[in-house]
Amino acid sequence: MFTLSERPLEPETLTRKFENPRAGALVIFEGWVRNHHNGRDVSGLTYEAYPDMAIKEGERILQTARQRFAILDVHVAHRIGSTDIGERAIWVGVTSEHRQEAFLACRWIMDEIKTRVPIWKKEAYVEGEVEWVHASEGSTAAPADPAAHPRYVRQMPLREVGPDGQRKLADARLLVIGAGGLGCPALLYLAAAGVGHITICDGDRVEESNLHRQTLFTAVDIGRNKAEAAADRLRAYHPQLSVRAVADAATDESLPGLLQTMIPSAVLDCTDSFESKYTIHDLCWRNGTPLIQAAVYQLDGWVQLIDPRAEQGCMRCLWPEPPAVGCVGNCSEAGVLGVTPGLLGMHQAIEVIKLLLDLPDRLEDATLYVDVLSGETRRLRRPVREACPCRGRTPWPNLGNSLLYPGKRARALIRDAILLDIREPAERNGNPDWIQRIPNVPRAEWEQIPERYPDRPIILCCSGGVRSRKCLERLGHPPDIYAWSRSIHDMRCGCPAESQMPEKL
Amino acid sequence: MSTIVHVQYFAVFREKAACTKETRTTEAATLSDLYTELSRDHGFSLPPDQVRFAVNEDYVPQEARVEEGMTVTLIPPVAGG
Repeated sequence: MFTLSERPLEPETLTRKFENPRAGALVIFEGWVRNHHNGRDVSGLTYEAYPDMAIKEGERILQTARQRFAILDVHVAHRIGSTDIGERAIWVGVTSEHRQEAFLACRWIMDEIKTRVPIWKKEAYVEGEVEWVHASEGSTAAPADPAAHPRYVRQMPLREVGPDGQRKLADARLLVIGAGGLGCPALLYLAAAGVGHITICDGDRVEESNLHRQTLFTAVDIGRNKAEAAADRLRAYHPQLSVRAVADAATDESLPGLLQTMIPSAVLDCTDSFESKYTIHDLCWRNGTPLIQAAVYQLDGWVQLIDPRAEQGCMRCLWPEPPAVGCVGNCSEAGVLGVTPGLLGMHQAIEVIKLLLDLPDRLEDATLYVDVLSGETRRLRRPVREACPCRGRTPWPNLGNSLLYPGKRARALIRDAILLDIREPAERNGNPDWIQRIPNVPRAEWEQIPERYPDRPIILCCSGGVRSRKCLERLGHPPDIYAWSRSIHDMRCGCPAESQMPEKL
Repeated sequence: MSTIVHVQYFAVFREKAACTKETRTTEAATLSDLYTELSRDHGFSLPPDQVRFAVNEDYVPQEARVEEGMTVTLIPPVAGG
């Protein structure tokens, strides 16, 4: 239960709420009102809450904690009103069978409370002023001057770094999407270098088979969300940094908001699917955010910088469309040695540092190809394609929502969708029965689609994905109408067997 | 197009607006437009990207549309715990 209290919190009363004999551990956290903040002497704190929403959001956090961690019970009590130095501001108690889960849950709950629950605090200072406090994101406040921090004393003598460079690193905000084979080495070295604000985004959980290459994790982390496990590890190594975990995949729906609230200095794409690469790429370009991409296949890989401000072209200049399904396997299918993403992730970190410190020879106009076996690296100049959307004269392909790529989302939609074959009738000659059963709407009749087929969702199909997208544009992107980005033959539904979607990339 | 909305204030906004709740007519289309209007009238100094919005005790995005009779709560950066 999450409660607010206008009277001092009573630990004995709160502890007695836990009664489960299966519990082998009770972890308690107390937040105390302390006498200083940011170098000033504090005389007291006043907490103000939006009570109904604080309790609602607090209960939600506890509910999520019960799903994420194997805990038995949890109670949180938060003070509101005026408090004196030394008083308890918050009390969090968590029980579990074994202590690990209670420790992890307790910490997670505190981190969530600090960012989500509508409670504010006003500090009264000994000199007499009062001020509303804005919570910082990190677990420990950063030192006043990062250039004075003894941890970086070995890198600052480099003229490429220096005290100014160290401060730039500390001010930088990095969004790292993917805490896997590429993300782990990149995160480790960027945190070590002193990048001050890191947000890690990953919806997956750590698995045994990850541990040969995803080097931030240990066996104890198996089952934990990767972003959270990675963030905890980085905070343990470098407590002076601000590290935040977003335990969900970055999608076309969530990424724009993330980019707007974070305003990152750069984004690292450490993902392993073509769909995510194109989504992240397009959104970063349109948001004006530099992006460092890397990809790995078995024993080689590449890395590049896509910087809209450099006007040196984008990924679509060279690769206008993602490759066809099944063309290229990912790590679980094709296999990979840990050293390969290890090396490429390191190159991503190097590229970030070059960007943040304004060092030369950046990969804004070239791709670096790395062959792990021979040790060879080659820089290949990237073209700038005038017809590419990044040049501003042609529109960007419509992202995500209306454009369907093979995968989980498409599989789910197809179940209830109406398929329409928008090719010309002659193209259907000789097509299998299941395609003949799909209604045909040739180009001359495209405009009639929304009225003629009132049910939703609708999936438009053609021979390769280009026409279905054009049709969608012609219709004005109405809600719940999608364009299938592959050939209609890849759909293979309407036959007696369960619809078989190609496996996701 | 004018809509009537109720706005709830807490913390620093409550102090600057000198009230906990008000009803007003607005031309704003989205919540972020509404905040621009309110910060002009009440002298809020928080930049829009640091403000969050709640309707019915749930966070809603700043692009959410303003609707007739809705109660919006402005949430400055929280500092609980």
